[in-house]
Amino acid sequence: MSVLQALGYPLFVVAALNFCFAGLLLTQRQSKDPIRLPAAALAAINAVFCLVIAVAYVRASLGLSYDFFYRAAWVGWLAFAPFFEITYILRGDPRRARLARNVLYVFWSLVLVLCIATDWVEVGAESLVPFVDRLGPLEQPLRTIAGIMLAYSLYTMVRAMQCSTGRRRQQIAYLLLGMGLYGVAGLLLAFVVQVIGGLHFDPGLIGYFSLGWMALTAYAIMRHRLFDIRSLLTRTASSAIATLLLVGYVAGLHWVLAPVVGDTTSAFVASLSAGAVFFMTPLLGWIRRFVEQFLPNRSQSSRRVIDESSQTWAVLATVGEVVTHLIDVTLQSTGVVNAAVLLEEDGALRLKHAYGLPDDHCIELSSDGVIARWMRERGQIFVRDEQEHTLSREHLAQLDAELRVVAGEVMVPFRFQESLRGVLVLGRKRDRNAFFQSDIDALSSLTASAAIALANAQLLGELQRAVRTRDDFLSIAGHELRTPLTALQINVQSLWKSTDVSERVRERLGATQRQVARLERLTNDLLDVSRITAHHLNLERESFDLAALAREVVARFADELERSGSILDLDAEDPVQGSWDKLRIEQVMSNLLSNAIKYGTGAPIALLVEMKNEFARIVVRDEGVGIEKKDQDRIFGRFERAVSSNHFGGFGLGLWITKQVIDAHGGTIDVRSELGEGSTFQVLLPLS
Amino acid sequence: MGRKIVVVDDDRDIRDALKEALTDEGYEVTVIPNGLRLMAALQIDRPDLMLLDVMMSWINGFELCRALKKNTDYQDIPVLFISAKTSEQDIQHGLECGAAGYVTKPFELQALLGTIEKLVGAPRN
Repeated sequence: MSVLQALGYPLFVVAALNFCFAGLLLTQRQSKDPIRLPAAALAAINAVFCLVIAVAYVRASLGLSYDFFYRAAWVGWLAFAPFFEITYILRGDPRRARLARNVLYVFWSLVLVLCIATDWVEVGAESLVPFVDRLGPLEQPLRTIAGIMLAYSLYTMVRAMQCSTGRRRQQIAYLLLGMGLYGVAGLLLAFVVQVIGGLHFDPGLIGYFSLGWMALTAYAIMRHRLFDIRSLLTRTASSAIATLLLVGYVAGLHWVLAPVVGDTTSAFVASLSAGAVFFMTPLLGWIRRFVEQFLPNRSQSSRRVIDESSQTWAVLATVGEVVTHLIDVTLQSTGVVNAAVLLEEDGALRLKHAYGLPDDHCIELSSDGVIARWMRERGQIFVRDEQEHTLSREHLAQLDAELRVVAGEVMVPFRFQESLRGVLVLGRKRDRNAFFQSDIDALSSLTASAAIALANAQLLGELQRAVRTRDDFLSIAGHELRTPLTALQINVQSLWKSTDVSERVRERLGATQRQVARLERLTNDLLDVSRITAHHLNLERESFDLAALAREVVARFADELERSGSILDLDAEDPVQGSWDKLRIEQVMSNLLSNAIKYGTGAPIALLVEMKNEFARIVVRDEGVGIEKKDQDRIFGRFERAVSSNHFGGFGLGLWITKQVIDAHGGTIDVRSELGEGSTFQVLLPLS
Repeated sequence: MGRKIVVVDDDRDIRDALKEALTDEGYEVTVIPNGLRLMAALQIDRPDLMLLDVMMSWINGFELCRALKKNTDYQDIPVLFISAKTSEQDIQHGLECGAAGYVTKPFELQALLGTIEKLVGAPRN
């Protein structure tokens, strides 16, 4: 192999790599990085440049004319256009970047045309190795201009790097280093060497230096999230595999068919069916998934953490628990140094819980800040580095000030029912890597779960507060009602006692007394509810005979029974001795009896008290309105009743209190009933 | 001479109702709206029984009772609480303050009269 071939052939590889690189950069459409397109252009120009030089060398080695390709190598100078564009973008001057790009493309395109079409720039090289060049009249001046441009762009690049701050500076350092390497090589070979004319060396060979640029750019991409390297790799590998398969398929089919149907038909059928197989079946998707299995998947472990955490969301009851869990999972799945959750309160975003931040509870982002506005209006994940070029300078300064407060690099909003609930803020990663698309996807699904859990917890909290308010109200109402009730009762009862009252008035007083007693029961029920709800049902057990108590209670209900027209059949002959809270058990019997009278519609009522095994059994049976099956569980709830409140008075608390008292004694209560055929309540109480 | 009872309650209707009811029974009743007035009243006339409300302004019934029980002149006068505070803890607390009894509001007049009679005897000797 000649020297010409040794120098030329590897340049094909470099050209191919540059082409691939350009293509990959172009396909990264989801990346909003403004240097993506100029970087792709740079790679493409490099590729063409290397290709042209390579062809020139190979043709030279074969003794063919290489003049056109040698001249066409001036296409390489077009690289100045994207080179300057990148430089100005990094300096944060997009207007000048566009200007420089347009002017330089036009200028160097003209030079290229002159170079190929005339002998003004390049007369052609007599020999490539050893390099013998014949200078055109414009060659030296143009190389000087190029050299000055190169030097200026290198200078500007270094300045740009100094201007940039923080992580962005780190990110672009590699990119700049690669470009610097390439630029310096170009400066030396294509300008210094040629203009000063000391060494006879083909400037086209700087094409090799584009490898360094590519390597460093690729490293910058991998190290910092300029683009998602994972999808780059997946696409490259799966395309390669698909191409191989396609070629193999077509060749194989052709080999089989050709002897039978002839070359032309066979090639036609093979190609056509290959198109159908590859583009009309999910084969390409399978290949991609197959490739993905073998790529190192950073996100798999984080995905696992998130999946494992998903069960937990449902059981978190308070906002605090949800927020803490969210931060735990975030820290585990992304490996960030610090994380915080800010929740929306009156438009502002307030810090609720943080890890790795100074313990300052008044951290807050105002509702008209950049972050709050972004989260509210766009509701997308906010990555600091991606937005650098979309925001104005003032916005950027304001943004950085806000981000410093929460040490944030990435902000993930969580929304529920179209409104912003809060923001998850992530700091930098422990390994200083940037956030990958896979991280962002994982975080999106994480915050989606968190938003639902949060909404649930908030609802639950509101519900609990509402219940507490109601119970407080009941307690206060119960207490407040007692005072007027007491005065009323004393007055009515002392009037009743006095001797100088006519029989007619006494009758009315009796009715008044009954109403007062009913008021008292209702008030007591209200108080019982609030007391029992607050777990204050303390039993004062004493030993007594349940049957005797039943007789007492029935005696007290004599008036009421008479008025209702019901006849009570009391079956409590044998003593049932046990240890219970007498007042509470009396309350149970009274409640059940008064219900039986109330809903009994004047039909006979039966009360049975007996020993049954190790239990005391109380059965109250009426033949009244009865309770529908669907209501039978409900009636033991608070403020529940089976019948409409229009027909029957009361709060609907009696059976609830009854059940609470029986539960506190360790007993059970159940009901058997048919609508219209009465109800039977059975209470079983352990003897002590 | 009739038994003297002092009723301390900041609710006027209850005071008046109790006064009427107890007077009808034959007791000699003085009504006082709060604890500070009670101290003044005690200087003038020594009762046989004090009925104290618990929730009152200035000084609550429990504190008042404890103060009375520390005072050697009045510690032998029985105290009966009449209160809308009905929890077991409250009743326990009242008795620990040295009260002879605790009646929860609202109450049966007959039951109150029974308790009073147990403490000071029938209205007339």
